[in-house]
Amino acid sequence: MTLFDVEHVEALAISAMGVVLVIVGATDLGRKRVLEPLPALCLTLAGLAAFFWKAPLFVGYSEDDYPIVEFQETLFFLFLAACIFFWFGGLLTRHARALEAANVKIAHANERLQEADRVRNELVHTISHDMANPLTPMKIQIRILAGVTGATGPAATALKVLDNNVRRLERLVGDLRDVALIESGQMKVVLQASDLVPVLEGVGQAFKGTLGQKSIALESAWPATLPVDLDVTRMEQVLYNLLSNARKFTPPGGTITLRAALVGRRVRVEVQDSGRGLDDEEKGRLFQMFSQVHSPPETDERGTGLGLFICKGIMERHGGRIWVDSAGHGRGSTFCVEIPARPEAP
Amino acid sequence: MANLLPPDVAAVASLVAGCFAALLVMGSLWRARPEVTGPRRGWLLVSLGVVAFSVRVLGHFVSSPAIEIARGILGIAGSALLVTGFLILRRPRGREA
Repeated sequence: MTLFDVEHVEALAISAMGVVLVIVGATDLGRKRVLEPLPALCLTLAGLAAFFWKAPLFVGYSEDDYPIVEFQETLFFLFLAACIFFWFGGLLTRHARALEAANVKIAHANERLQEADRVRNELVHTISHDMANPLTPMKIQIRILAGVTGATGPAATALKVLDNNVRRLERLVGDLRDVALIESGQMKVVLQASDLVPVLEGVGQAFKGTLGQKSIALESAWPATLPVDLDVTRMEQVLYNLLSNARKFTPPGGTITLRAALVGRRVRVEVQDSGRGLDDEEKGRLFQMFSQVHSPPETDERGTGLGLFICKGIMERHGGRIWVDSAGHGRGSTFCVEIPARPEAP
Repeated sequence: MANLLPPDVAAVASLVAGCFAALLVMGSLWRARPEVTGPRRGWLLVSLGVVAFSVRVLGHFVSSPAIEIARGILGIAGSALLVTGFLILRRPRGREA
């Protein structure tokens, strides 16, 4: 047997490993750099066992020593396994505890957020309700004032500005109230068996009167009947909102198209405009609360950023959906709403 | 089992302890994230080292020159794997890719 046969090289390697493990384990045992005390102790003992398992080969050992040397091998394995178990298990246990603590924190934060959300909804509801109360007498007083005084010139202009702003405030308060209802899950729609066609005709007729000053054409197309279950008032609100948006973004001389059709077992209404169009980023956030795209400079219509969020809430309560299609900037947009058709639909 | 001598029992105990440790680490590494357990490469090397030593123990039950050489090689490889693995695991976090 030479010094460089496999047995001696192995003994050298295992003894050296033992020394390294003792150094690593003892260093951590003393300074607690990486390992906790228990795995560090086990590693040190595993290193000692490895060393005393193979190092005796170099000094020579008798047959009597053989069982002790073999026992060192077993000790090496046991301490190594214990080190790995305590080290690895400790890491996983600590992580599990950290996760548990984080979950508790998240649960508390969630509770606080829910409470804050509830308070916010109550606040918005209360504010919108209290703001709505004085608006009606204000509107009446403005009309009385305009009629009684027969105001002309600057006084008439002032009254018109006042009237416009009161109307805008009224819209804002109405939107805030709807948002509060949607957010708190209290918005109710009364679904009744109806025909959508008269609703479309009524909204189209009313909307046509607002287009004259911008020279925008309104085109419309729908079949003779479209039986659906809907809340007429809420559906009118949705359609009027979509048409108002289309008017806002359609340049003078442009066209708005209102059409409806039966698509499968659903009724789809589309409001298409020839306006600025939308890119993908805008389409993605359009139905979120307070989300607005930049109004064209020539328009004096300013939205609240709540209209489409409310439309989405209303459509969801109809069991329907709302989305927008646009090929990009300068290529117009098409807002689509879809609700289930009644069984008797053709 | 009645015919097993103390060294045989010790070899079986070594085999079981080593395999259990290696299986524990390898099984957990499959799902645990490196930011929790430390570098995967380090644990993998340690596990392979333990497996090498465990397989080496099997040679205890068979005696032949070829097996002795194989045991020697496994012992050398196992030592290298264990030392490298432990050193990687003890490196400060952030240096491991």
